[in-house]
Amino acid sequence: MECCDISHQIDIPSGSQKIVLAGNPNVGKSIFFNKFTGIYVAVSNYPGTTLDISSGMFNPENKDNDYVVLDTPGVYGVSSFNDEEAVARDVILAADAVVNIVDAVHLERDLFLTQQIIDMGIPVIVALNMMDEAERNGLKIDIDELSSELGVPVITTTAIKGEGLEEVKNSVDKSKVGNTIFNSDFLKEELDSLAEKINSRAEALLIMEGDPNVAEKNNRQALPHREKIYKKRRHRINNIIDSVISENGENSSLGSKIGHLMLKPLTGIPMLLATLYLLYELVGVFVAQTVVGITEETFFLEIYEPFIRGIVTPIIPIESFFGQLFVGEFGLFTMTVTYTFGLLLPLVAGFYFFLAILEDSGYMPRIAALVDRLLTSIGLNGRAIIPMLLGFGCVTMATITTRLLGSKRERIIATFLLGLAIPCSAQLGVIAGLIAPLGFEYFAIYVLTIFVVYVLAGTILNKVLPGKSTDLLIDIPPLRMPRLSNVLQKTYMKSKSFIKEAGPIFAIGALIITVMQETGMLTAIQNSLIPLTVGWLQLPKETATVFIMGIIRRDFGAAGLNSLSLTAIQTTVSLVVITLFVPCIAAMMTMFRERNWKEALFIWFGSWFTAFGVGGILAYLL
Amino acid sequence: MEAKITLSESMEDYLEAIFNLIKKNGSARVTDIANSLGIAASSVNQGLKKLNQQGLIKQQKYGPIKLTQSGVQAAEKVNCKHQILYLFLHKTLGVKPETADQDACSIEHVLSQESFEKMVDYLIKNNYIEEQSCAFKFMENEEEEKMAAKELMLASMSVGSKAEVLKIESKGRLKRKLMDMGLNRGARVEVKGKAPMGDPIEIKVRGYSLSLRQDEAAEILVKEV
Ligand SMILES: Nc1nc2c(ncn2[C@@H]2O[C@H](COP(=O)(O)OP(=O)(O)OP(=O)(O)O)[C@@H](O)[C@H]2O)c(=O)[nH]1
Ligand SMILES: [Mg+2]
Repeated sequence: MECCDISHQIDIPSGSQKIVLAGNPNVGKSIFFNKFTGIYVAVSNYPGTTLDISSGMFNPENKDNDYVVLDTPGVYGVSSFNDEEAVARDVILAADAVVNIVDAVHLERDLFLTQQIIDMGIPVIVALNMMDEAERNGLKIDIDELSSELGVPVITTTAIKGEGLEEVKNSVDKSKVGNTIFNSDFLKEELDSLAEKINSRAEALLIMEGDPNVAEKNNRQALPHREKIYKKRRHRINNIIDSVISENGENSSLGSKIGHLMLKPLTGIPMLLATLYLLYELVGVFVAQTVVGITEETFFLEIYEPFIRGIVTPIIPIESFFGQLFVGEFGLFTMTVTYTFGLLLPLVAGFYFFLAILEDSGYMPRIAALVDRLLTSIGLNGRAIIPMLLGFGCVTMATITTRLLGSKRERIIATFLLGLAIPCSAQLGVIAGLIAPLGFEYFAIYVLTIFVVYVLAGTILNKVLPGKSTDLLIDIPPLRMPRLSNVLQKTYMKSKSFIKEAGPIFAIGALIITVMQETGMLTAIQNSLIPLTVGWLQLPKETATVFIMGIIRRDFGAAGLNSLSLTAIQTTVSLVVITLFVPCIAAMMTMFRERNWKEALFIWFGSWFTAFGVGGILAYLL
Repeated sequence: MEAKITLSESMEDYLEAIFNLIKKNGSARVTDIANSLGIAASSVNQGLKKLNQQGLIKQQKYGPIKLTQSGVQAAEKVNCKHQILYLFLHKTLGVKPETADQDACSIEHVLSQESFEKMVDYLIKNNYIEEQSCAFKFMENEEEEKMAAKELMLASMSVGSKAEVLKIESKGRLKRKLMDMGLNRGARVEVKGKAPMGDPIEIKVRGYSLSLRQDEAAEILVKEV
């Protein structure tokens, strides 16, 4: 593992100060980052939103110094269990100053990390966030007392309203090395001498706490003082809490009541089903049929395409190669544009919108707890529901989210299942549009088939891969009212990156298909695939085109099914095949980056095999 | 009740002496204690210091010595064991009163709760002790204490119950993570709910809600409060 060298990952101009935003998960670090730098990184109401470092510049008033701000994944302690904890640790170790964001409502939990960072000897400034919620809960905190106990400045903030952020921003150079738990009776000499030897007080502390990675990096043995240090730290925090909190109202708001209902079996499961139904109604019915009906059919096919053909054909005849390339059946200005903007964009945006509301409300970790038991049976962890749900938005982005899982094994299983059986929103919309008219029966067959494949694949992987599901330990945040501005901004950002990512790939796909068609390759491939398409899957031979398009992007392939005339059974079979088919090129690249080429290739070929295997069996059965 | 403190033999002797002196004279002074135990006043002072540290006695400088509530309880317990032993030796075995008293003095410090209870049972069966005997009080207290300080695993707690963490038995990174998340000795937890099939469970600890599996909760030893 690489340790403590972050400069190769992030451009940090020399001479600028590194300000690290650190804190427990879900305390508002990313909002701070957004407001400090103007760069949008995702903000949502569940622990583990940020899984990687983001960096940006900012320049406080009246200061000549340039500062680099770094947003980190939330952690409960500076140590390394998994990737994001190691990432956070390395950035904190490299910090010139830490802005420690603390959730005022959960002071008793959060100050433990604060004290650890102070013990590391890093200059700290504490931003006491969520003051609005603290006030609502009737919590009274003596800020001056807290500041003098910790020995560092404390500034109160309400990040969602922007309150106090300017003050924090302009006070970063007032950060201080605070009061540690060490004294002449307690390990001080030991820490000091180790710090001198390895030339880093922060690393010395981590070695004393038994962090094996940091010890190894310094060629030392990890020391066995963790229990002692933790006990003392806990003790100190309890004392501080006793002296700074005067009133502690119990939270019995409507939100917390609903929150409990979401977790109880009797109410939780119906609520989850209702949410999924709502999702289906919104994306599958409203967007996929009504909205797309207007955008694709009415606008792009009836108005836009004739218009663009009208402009292009007088110059380039449509029968020519370039005519086909630009405005032909798979044309760059016709099909690519119509698919991307008329069909897929509304679907993707609708889905992201819905997901953003879910993410902001705090429902996600509750779903995770609710389904943990089910997911452990396929070797996963309740948390895996987060990448799975996000996968319905975009498999590529969800693949990155698998980092929040605790072990390599879980990440492999989740990535594989994402690649295999989770249709992304674009594809899902097309599928919903095609299958809804066929009636409930076919819809059920489709869902059931995919579900069975999903469970079987998970069960097999669970059996084959050594190890077992990691611990759950998920912190359930309070339910919050989704903020419209955040929901819209996130929808916009994600939709934009969808277009950026998918657009060029579509164009390339369109180009390849046109070339293949013009050169006669398409027919040749279609004919050579007849045993597979016609023989095994009992589909018309033209579906081969769909699969070729599906290699590039599954949604692209699914959309291609629109133009074929198929029977109900054929539609269902081809939809199952295209759903289980290989992940799109972008998702493959991400899998390749997140995992490695062996696993990525395994997923790719595994999908071919499963897709055609299952499709054939289904065709035979129906 | 905090009678969980284990006292050394001599400490128990001190307590008993103080208890008896207070009963007899209304107060206990260092010289009296020294006389009744037949030891030097300086060693009595040492002993008193220890008892003070354990919260069993209160003593103003040069003033009379008082027993705290837990001090009274501890003394009563020793005293009671003495009585029962005496009765047992004298009434059932026919040991001479003087010898029985002396032996009771030495055995009382090492007598286990189980033997004590068995002796009481036997004495009751044979009608050697009356209803108001101290033995009943102590048998009852002991029961209550067992009920009150029931140690169990977090996993087996029912929804709505509260407890204090005594020990985390998990190892390695899970343990460290639990500790980072504030689930260490002394933390107060409340079981808020259980998901379908009882797993995972949701607890409230250090002011926030945490969801953890039965397996994980089965490694956390707690004491119901
Ligand atoms: N009421 C209230 N909510 C806040 C405040 N600050 C942040 N939030 C909410 O807290 C949640 C978490 O915010 P993020 O910025 O994603 O938190 P984070 O610390 O970056 O979280 P991770 O990346 O998961 O570690 C979001 O739902 C925010 O809307 C605040 O001052 N008041
Ligand atoms: Mg974040």
